[in-house]
Amino acid sequence: MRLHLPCVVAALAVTGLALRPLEAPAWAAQVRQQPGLEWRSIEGAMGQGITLGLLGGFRALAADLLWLRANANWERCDLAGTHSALALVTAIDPRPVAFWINGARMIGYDMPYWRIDAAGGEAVVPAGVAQRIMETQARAAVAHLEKAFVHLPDAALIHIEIANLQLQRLGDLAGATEHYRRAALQPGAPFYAARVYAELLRRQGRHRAAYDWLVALHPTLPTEEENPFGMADTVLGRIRELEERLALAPVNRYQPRRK
Amino acid sequence: METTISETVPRPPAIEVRRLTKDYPLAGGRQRLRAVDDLSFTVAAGQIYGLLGPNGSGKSTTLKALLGLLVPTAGECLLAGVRGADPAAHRLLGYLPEAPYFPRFVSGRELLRFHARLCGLPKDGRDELIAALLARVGLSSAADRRIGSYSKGMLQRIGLAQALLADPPILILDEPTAGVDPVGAADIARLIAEEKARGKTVLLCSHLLSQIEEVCDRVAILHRGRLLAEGSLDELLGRDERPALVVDGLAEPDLAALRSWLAARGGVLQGVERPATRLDRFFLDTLDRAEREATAERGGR
Amino acid sequence: MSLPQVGPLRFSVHRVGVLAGHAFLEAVRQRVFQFTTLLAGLLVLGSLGLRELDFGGAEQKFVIDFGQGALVLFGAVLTIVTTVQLLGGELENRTVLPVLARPVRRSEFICGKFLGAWAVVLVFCAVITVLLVAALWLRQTTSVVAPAEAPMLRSAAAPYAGVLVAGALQAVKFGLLTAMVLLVGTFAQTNLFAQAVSFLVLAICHLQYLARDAWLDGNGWFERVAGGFVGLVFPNFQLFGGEFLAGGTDGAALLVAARIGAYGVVYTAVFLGLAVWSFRHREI
Repeated sequence: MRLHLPCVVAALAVTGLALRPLEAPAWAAQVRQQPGLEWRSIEGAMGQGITLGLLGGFRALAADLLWLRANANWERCDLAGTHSALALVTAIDPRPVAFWINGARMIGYDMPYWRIDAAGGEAVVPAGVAQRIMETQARAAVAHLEKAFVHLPDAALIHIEIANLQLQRLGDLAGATEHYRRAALQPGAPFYAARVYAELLRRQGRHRAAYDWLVALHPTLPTEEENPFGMADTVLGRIRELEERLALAPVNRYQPRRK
Repeated sequence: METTISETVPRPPAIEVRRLTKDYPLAGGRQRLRAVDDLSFTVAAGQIYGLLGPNGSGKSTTLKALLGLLVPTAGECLLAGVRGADPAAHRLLGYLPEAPYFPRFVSGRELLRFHARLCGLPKDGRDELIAALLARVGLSSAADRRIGSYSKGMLQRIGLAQALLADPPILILDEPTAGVDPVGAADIARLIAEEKARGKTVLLCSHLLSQIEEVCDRVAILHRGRLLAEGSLDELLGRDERPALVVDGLAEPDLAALRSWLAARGGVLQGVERPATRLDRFFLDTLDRAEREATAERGGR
Repeated sequence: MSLPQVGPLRFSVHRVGVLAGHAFLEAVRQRVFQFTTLLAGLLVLGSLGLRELDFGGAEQKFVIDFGQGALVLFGAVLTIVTTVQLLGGELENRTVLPVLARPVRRSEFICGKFLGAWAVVLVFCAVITVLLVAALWLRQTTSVVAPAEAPMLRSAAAPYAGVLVAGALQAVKFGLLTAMVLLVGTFAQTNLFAQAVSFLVLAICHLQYLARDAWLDGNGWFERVAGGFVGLVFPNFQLFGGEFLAGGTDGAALLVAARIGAYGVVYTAVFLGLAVWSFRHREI
């Protein structure tokens, strides 16, 4: 058999060069959707096989499998194991919002109880200590979520998750309000984000700001028939309540345009 | 289907091998093994030509070079005047490789259908032709079995059927009876004789002397890639001018009388022998006799 | 019997079709096709069972990742093993002899093997993609996600079009891989060698982008030369991934898909041409 290797290599090199105009824009489009790997977070945590798999294009699948490992650790209430697996999952594939949110819920809502149980249980641990544990874990969860903005700067659900942690665990109403505002401004945000933002403004006594927000929001909402989750009628009801509260003259009240 | 064969005109020999030499590289290419060395022979149309030689004598290499499966180091091989490496020449050809092996996952009928389509045989009558060929080689009952379940003998038979498929004027058969029982070997010899009677040219490669002797018109003997002898059987073996008689029922007194009778006429009885029956002949005669007895018994009932 | 005169033998699409049909028939009857399809199918359907582990709306991602992972992984194994068996197996077992003794051009033989092997992989891709779409549809209709949450996200619909485009690109990639394995098979002396080299080539092609980056952005001269060599000689298999479809299947995404498809088709034609050229010189 006479395989003229230099000829084969030359033919392939010419083909590679000739196809560059096709390849380059397509590769750019691919790379745009793939954040760079954070090798410092990954190195040492995995064997060469997984590293090769990651490089070889099985990144999403590797993250899924590690996510399953994180869940197995979570079921065993393995705090260190769950933490490291969550960090690894988001380092390998930071794109899925669910990895960040569900990981933050484990850190912020479940791990405090593991720590309290490890310290002897709620009956033994003083309330002040338990509260500190709750807050520490909530802050860790918020810190975890804030890392997501590097890769997902316009993820409304990340803002909402941070806001909920601030509301429920840290008692930070102002911080939560700001995150709901940012969430509501993101493209593709759930409709309730804008409503909750107005409600948080109202709770802080900022009725005028809440009213202005809802008046601006209402014309952008779909009708009940188009999408019931827009809840345009509920928003209009809140506007009316705020108009009463602000004692606005009838002539100054909001008049919705009929669609 | 494209035109495959044009008009007939006076022909060159069916097969012609001219000064064929084939070297195989050894030990990374620094040394060479000469498998065929300056070999020449010619097979005329309608002949059965035997290539005879021990294992490693260059028979299969010669056939492969003839089919264009190997590139000769020197010399050339022609089929009806066309280079064997040209696939167009293969339209004239039916080939049975040594110890044929076919895809295990297809049935005998599917294999023949595949080869028939490859040869461009028309769809009309194709299945009938295949059924007839399967019957001719004795494989009708196993036609739809997967080839993976075939015995060696059945593989030779299906191989022969695919070689005969397009009714080619030239047949190249490499060890057609290897691994076949004597009955099967006799059947294959009969098929070869039938093809000769139909005017086919057959190049037969074998190391079984009796087989070559029975069917071949001409023989070439190869050894270590070289041609040792070539010619018709008569030319090669010659004929003893002295007649020999084989007599049944000759008693001792009659033998003495025969000696005297010969002496009176100047003849001398050189020897009296009892020639042994060749085993393959004995085996076939025994089976034949048993078959005849069984037939007679059935007829008598 | 006088011998007829033979005319020239032109390349015949009919014979290529016959060879391809025979190769396809042989390959689909082999266990490797049945096993890989079954395993990949089970992996796709099995991903539906994982949805309770992610507490919310991400099970669609799991189903897609597992489905496409199964397609990429088992598809590559099937392509290499089937192609090596169809060519290397024929050469090793000498079943090629009666075929090449027919009026068949070697180019027809290689093209037939290519189409037969690729057809098997296409069937695999179609089965797995249909299973994936069915799994996504099942997930949509029997979702365990809180119904109040999912519809509020404005992009909750399953990306069926994206899955189909991604499946088609993988099929193109496997066509290219088939041609590459055929080229390896034309000079390999054993099946084991052909399979080992093919898997090595597959790994290099999946990592080619690293060499390409080194070529374009590397600092040292060795890095740039070595990167340029690998980056130019081997096709980039990661190009065929469906990452660019994450933003949806709009016109721009389809244009990218068309570019990638054309890239794969041109490379396939080049590798197939090289395989034909190499097989012409092969002694059997």
